[in-house]
Amino acid sequence: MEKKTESYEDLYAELESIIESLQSGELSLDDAVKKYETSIELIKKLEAHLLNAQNKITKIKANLK
Amino acid sequence: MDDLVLSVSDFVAVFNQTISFAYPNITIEGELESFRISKNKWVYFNLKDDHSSVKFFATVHQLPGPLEDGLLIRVRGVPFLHNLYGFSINVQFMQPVGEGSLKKAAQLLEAKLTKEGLFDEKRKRPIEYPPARVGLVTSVGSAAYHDFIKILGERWGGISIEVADVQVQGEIAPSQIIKALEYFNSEQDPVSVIVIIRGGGSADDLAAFNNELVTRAVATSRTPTLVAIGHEVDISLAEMAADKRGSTPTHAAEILSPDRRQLIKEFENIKTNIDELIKVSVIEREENLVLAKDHTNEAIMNLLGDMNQNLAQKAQLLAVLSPLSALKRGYAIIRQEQSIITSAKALKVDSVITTEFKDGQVISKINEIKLK
Repeated sequence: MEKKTESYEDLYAELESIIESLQSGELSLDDAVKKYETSIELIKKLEAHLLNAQNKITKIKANLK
Repeated sequence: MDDLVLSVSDFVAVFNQTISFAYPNITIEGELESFRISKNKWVYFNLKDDHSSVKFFATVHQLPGPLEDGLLIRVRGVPFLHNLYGFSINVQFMQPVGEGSLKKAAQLLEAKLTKEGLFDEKRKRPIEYPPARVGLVTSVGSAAYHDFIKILGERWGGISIEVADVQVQGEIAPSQIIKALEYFNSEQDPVSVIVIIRGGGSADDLAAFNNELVTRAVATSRTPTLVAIGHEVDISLAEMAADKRGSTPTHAAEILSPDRRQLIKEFENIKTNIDELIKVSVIEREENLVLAKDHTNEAIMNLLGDMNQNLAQKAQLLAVLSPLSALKRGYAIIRQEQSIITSAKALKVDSVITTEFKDGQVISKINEIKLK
């Protein structure tokens, strides 16, 4: 079931859909607990993304004179 | 010297050679008068002060924007004696100076460009949020640059920032800023947004951002633009032409991206919320379970109650039907060797029978049998 979607946006979209399904209240308890665990994992990954990402600065070489 | 006689053309040549050696270029400041544009191409004007007036010549693309007589103008140019039209200074760069003239010139340009629809709200395009790649146009040595990079880095990560290091004031600033815009717009894989920033300064320092060509270059940029010049109170035409204006370079960084510290706080809230959702889900099921247990108990109790009642009725009925009750009424049971005897034919003379009364038994021997 583990997907290979690791960009911040994809992880966030996954988290949103899980929260939505948790809010719907239509999941079985087993599914709800599984989704809950996944969502905690996702949040950990998202936080790591946020904390570790650095901006990259490059100076362009074009002649602007 | 008295002996030297020159042809007119020679004089023009000698004069120009001498003057260009002495003043390869010269900067003059004065009040604009007799300003006119010919054939939409050539610009003629004088600069004057209380005692003098000098002629100048320029082309329209050297104009910083629309001008009018009375403005204080600074011109860098080359003195030149034309072989037919006489003396003038050929303009290389010109710019209104002083707060009043700069403001007036900016108003003239604003009116012109507003008429053209350059500042229309409907021209504004959305900016990718947060952008994957930023083309930054600024002076790398400036506080504005450092503030922007610092704030953006604190707020977000993973953005690729390509920096065009330009002068943000002075004569060369407009052309460098325009070339930087051209550079970013001509990239094969264009950046998400072009950001132009500059810190605060005097009206003269910020003049490049009220320049007509710079303002037009911002307005016509294919890539969306974010421009933040000076302090909050300074509003330049380049900012008005941009898709988005930042009040300061720091504000520009804030507009570009969310704040990761804020998001991490929000994740805490999300965690609390989903914890709550799961708790509610479990509690609901527990409550259902308790309810189900109660229902089951109740059903069993009801069933037992019914059975008890039934049993009592049966017991009553049984009591009525019991032969023992017959004994109470004066009947007796006759047995021979445990078998109950219900017929006289079953007995023989001399047999021993037991007669059971309600209060005891009598054992007797049969003397005679009389059948009906």
